[in-house]
Amino acid sequence: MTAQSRNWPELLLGLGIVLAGAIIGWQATSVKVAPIYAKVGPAAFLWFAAALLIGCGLIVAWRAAARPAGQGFELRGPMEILLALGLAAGLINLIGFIPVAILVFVLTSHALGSTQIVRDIIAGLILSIVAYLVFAMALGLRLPLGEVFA
Amino acid sequence: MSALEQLLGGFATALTLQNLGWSLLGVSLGTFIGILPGIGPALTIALLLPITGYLDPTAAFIMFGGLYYGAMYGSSTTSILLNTPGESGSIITAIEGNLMARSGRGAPALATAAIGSFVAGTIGTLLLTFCAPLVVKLAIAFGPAEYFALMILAFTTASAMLGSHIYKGLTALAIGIAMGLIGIDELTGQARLAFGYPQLLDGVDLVVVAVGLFAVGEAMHVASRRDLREVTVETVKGSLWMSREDWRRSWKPWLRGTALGFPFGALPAGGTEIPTFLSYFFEKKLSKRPREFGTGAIEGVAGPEAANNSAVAGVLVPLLSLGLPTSATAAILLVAFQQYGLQPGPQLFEASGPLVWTLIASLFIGNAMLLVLNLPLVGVWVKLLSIPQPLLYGGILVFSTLGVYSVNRSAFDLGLLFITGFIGYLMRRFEFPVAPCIIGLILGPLAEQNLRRALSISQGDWSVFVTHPIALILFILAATMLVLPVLWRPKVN
Repeated sequence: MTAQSRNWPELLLGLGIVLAGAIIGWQATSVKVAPIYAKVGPAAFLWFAAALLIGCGLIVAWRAAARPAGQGFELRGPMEILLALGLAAGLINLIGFIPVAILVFVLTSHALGSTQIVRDIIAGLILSIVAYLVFAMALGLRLPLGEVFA
Repeated sequence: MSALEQLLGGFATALTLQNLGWSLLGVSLGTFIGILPGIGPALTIALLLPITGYLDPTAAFIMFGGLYYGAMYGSSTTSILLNTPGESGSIITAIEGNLMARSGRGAPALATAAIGSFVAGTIGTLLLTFCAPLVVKLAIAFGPAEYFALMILAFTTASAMLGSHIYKGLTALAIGIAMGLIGIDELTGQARLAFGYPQLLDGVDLVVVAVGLFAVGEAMHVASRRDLREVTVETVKGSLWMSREDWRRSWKPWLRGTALGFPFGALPAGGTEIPTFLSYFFEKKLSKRPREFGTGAIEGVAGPEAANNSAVAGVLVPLLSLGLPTSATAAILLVAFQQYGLQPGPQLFEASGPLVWTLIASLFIGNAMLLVLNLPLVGVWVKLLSIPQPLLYGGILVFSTLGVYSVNRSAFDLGLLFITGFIGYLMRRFEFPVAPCIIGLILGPLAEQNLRRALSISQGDWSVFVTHPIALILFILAATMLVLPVLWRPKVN
């Protein structure tokens, strides 16, 4: 098996799953188990999930080492969507729902291959205003207008 | 009062003009969202959960009835015309139906899927009407040990039957269980997996996880694959009515599919995927033209589509009578019930009988509405598929953000959406099934509760799980479910 044909993404995923299991196991050690619950206390299921993740993660990593990587995946698009959601989480209280919705719309469209930014901004603006009005007026859902504009 | 009388009571409530309006809104919204590529019934209901929270319970459940079947209908239309199944039960429809559409037989494929869904949905709902009260009677004998065993069975079936490998299903299940454990432990008051964030002490909301895994995960997956962005929508030509020959070739597969699907859904035995595969095999074996299978045989759409819808009705039996969700959609419906302070299970029929029977009646009504409204309107729905994908997914993510934010009016939840969306993407990218994760999230804490309860009743004696015959049988079944797919797994050419 050469380094080129090894399935590095899946190998990393397997190790990531093992790491997640280890973190859950580490958290389980900090849960105090009173003697009365000693049979099955609040940490038992944490240990179960941790063991399952570590076991399955090892299988994922082991199998990844034995077969070539899949082709045809691009990273730019998914990362752009993550950026959109990250910005939404960080900015929604600051700049409000409508600008955040436009941002999510434009970045997602771009991630999916759109190059017409002006069209996307206009479509995002219309959609977010309609959504805001429907939710706020018809359903009484209070969406943030943004601290900056308050 | 007999089941039939109670069902009639349900119809009396569901058939008022206002409630018919809710049902119509449910089937329309369900079809509208279900038809969007990659979006199945589970996400449709999850996205609408925050909105239905503002309605009174009767209106909301009538709408859920419509949504449940409407999203299934929309999903099969997309499978046939776009070859993108919204959920695992539509995989066969996507293969054989799309082949029919490509050879210019899209209209009969849509018609046999719609009529088959109606036949299976109606018979399945009728079976649900009579089976659910029987299971309730059985369930009264269930104690915590039996419930724990039942949940282990649901875990193993969901993990073993879905996806390409058991270890991938189990990984998804473990992620779900871990997410379900986040927050304060109810028995000891200790925080678990909160990592010092007070927002996590109440646990992670299912809407956030479902929207992240399904909507964000799917959008990221499509963004990462150029071939998924360049899909062709097959056009629907000619009359939508099936020919005499089509009817002759369809009616038996509809009935056989219905008979296969319901038991698989009703017993917690793997949801909708297996019966659709089995139906395809049976139809191929029984067909006089087996060579047509793989090139677009109408029986290969009629049977599996009926099996899928019948299983979907069957899934409601363990959900309503035992409180046990065996599919991702059922898990989200369970949360919908909890949103109104209702806990599905044996007591539900006693405590909220009229509401449950109204839901079942609205399933019949929604099913009939779908047939009457949607088959003639298929041209309108198909237009939705011509919306450019960037705008479509842009819109889906705007509504996802809105839906998730509105659950707790919290920006922190949007941060969780970021994380669960990334997990959903990785699961699609590396072919891990998503449903076990949702089931683990919902059932994990319930399984833990029942295990601890069973052990505290037996004063810590583990033999309680072997000496109770029902629990023992369920454990043996669970073990079989883990071993069975290793020894035998149907393959589709």
